[in-house]
Amino acid sequence: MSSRPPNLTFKLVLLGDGRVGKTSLVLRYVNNVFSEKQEATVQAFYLKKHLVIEGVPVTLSIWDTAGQERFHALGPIYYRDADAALLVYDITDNDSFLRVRKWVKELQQMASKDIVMAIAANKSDLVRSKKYDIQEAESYAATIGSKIFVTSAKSGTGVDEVFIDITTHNRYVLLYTTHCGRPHTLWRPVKASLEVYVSASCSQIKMFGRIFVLPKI
Amino acid sequence: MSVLRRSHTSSSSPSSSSPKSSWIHLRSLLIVASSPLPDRGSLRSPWSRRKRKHALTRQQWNNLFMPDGKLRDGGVKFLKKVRRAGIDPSIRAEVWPFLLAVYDLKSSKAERNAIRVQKRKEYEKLRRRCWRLLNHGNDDEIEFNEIIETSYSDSPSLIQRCDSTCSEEVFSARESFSDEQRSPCNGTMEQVYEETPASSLVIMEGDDKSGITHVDASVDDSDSSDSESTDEEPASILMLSSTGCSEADPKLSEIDSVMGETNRSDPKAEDFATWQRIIRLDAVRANAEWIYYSSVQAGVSEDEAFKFANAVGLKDFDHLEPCQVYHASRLVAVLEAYALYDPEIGYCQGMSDLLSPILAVMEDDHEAFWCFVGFMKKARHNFRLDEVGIKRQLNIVSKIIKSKDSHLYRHLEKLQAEDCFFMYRMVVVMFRRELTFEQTLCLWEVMWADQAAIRARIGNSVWARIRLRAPPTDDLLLYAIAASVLQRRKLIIEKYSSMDEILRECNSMAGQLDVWKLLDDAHHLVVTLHDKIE
Repeated sequence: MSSRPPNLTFKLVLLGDGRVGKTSLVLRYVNNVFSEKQEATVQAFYLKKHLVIEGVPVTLSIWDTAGQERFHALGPIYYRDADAALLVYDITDNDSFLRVRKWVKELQQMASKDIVMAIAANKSDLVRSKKYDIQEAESYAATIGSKIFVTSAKSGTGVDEVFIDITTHNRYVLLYTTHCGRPHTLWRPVKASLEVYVSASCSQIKMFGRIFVLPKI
Repeated sequence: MSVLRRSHTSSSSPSSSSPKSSWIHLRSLLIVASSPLPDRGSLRSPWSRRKRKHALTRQQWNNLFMPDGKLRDGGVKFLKKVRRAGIDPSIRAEVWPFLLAVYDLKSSKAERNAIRVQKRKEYEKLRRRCWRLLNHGNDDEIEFNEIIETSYSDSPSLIQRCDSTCSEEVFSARESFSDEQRSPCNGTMEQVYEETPASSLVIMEGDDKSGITHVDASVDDSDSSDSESTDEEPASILMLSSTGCSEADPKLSEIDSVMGETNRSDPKAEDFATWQRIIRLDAVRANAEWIYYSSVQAGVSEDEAFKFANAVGLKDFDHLEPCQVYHASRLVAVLEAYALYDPEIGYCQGMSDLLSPILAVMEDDHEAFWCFVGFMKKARHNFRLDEVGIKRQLNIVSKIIKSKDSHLYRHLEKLQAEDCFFMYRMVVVMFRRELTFEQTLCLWEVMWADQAAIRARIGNSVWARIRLRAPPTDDLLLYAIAASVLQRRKLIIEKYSSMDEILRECNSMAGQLDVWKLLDDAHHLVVTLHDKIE
């Protein structure tokens, strides 16, 4: 086997109300820049980021979507094959949190069952002396099995954390198989218990996940 | 997290947004780089480079008029010229109202003067309503009605009524908002009138400096007498009857329905308060590319800019230059008025992209507003909540691609991308995000000329005679969009195996397109396909 594992591509979509800072979060994370004057996104915007996680090269393909309710119907195009959704709201604007709930509902019904969700409470820099109240949001996140991150695209607080957490949330298994008679490797998200993969007549299984790697079974 | 390490090779796609300033710089370099097009001698396109050099000049424009101020031959020659070569930037402000149906192509000077005065009043009325809604909110209807009936009967009582949120200074700034547009640089109005060619259109009898106060006063009178009644002014009837958008004749007197919109059962319905909020959020983050093309507006003083911001209740602009504050205030003023004028559409993100270039060209808010209304006649369908308009347009793009290139179409089908949703943005903001400011204006002008020709029923026979093979089409933009995909057919077929990759390609077209080549290609598609598509 080659020493370098194949690239893992991970598709992440950002959803949330207009002007909560979706594009700014992406630009802070990918390019480490911030602009107060970030133009409104029409349709969607794409960026990618290369990471190495547990020695595995990961390409994070990030889809940033338009916020206004009226573009809502475009959502499915972007989340339909997404591995993860980052739901963003403005920590100073309760209405924008309602929009997050709406998206969650839709994702639960329409998106892949295995989609990973995380919530970013953005613009924490606007709240003086960090006296924000995210209790409600926190308990909501718990009910949907997600985590909430307090972020500020402006200051950079919490931005790396949320992207890395969401990317490494899933466990992936590297399958060594044959394809057209040739050895073939591919990453698959771990959807069932490990036994499924073991019994899939694969010669070797490697797995990478949130905090551990199982080099062999 | 320590087990995670990010590689040094983090990179982004070419579409990634580098800081805007360098982007603008890059784009402006691209204009320079792209202008010497190879001569496409064999192609009979009206948009080859050689002809492009001859944009409609001021002299030609002046010569197009007969002594009574009517355009010769009903505007055929005018439209032919614009369609082929665009308009010289110095006369855009005068020409656009003709392209955008503010003025009929057959109108005389006297008729246009009358329409102008009328439309200005209508706009100012809309602005007053916006102001009232902003200051008294949607939940205060009783007081709101009372205000309409009593306090706005004339100016003095209005000023008396103003409370702490509405100082006299703010009020007067608002009242003279559109007048002051003409003098963004603290100079006197007369000076600006003389110095700005763009405003020559607005100097008309009865509208000199002394007349302005009179116009304002008379509007106030009519306001009080009809108290927002349902009078449809002749000018607006003329406007509305000129196209076929029958399903939504915007009523100027629908404040009640606008204000009650929150109660609608449609969960997607947005109310005026929402629009007011989003308009302001978008206005302060509008693209600033126009600055390089409008030196008068770019030079606005800080005092002046803040006065305008105050007049429309714009806040949160600390990070902006005075000229951007000024532009943002104008965006708010016109977009808000439009949301009232056309409550079915209201405001949707992307509309500010369409308005911003118009504001840069038209220095008077009321003229910009009516040009925008003319532009939106067709564009409004793209912003409908039910998405009928956008889907129809994407469907046409899809049909064009299918008819022209079945191989590419099959590939798109395989990737489940044949609905062409990946071109959504281009349709909605009409290449504004993909082209430079100047390129966008060229494209729009040619597109408007086509639409104006259709409106004026200048038929195919006329165009056939003048060696322009492609008849005017309402959907030139869609042909241009299809052309931009077809230009990348090889790449798409050979390299792309997922919808995501195509979407990415579309994202990265920004700054890569050559507008005249695009129009060339669109033209050829029109020639070969218009019978099948339309």
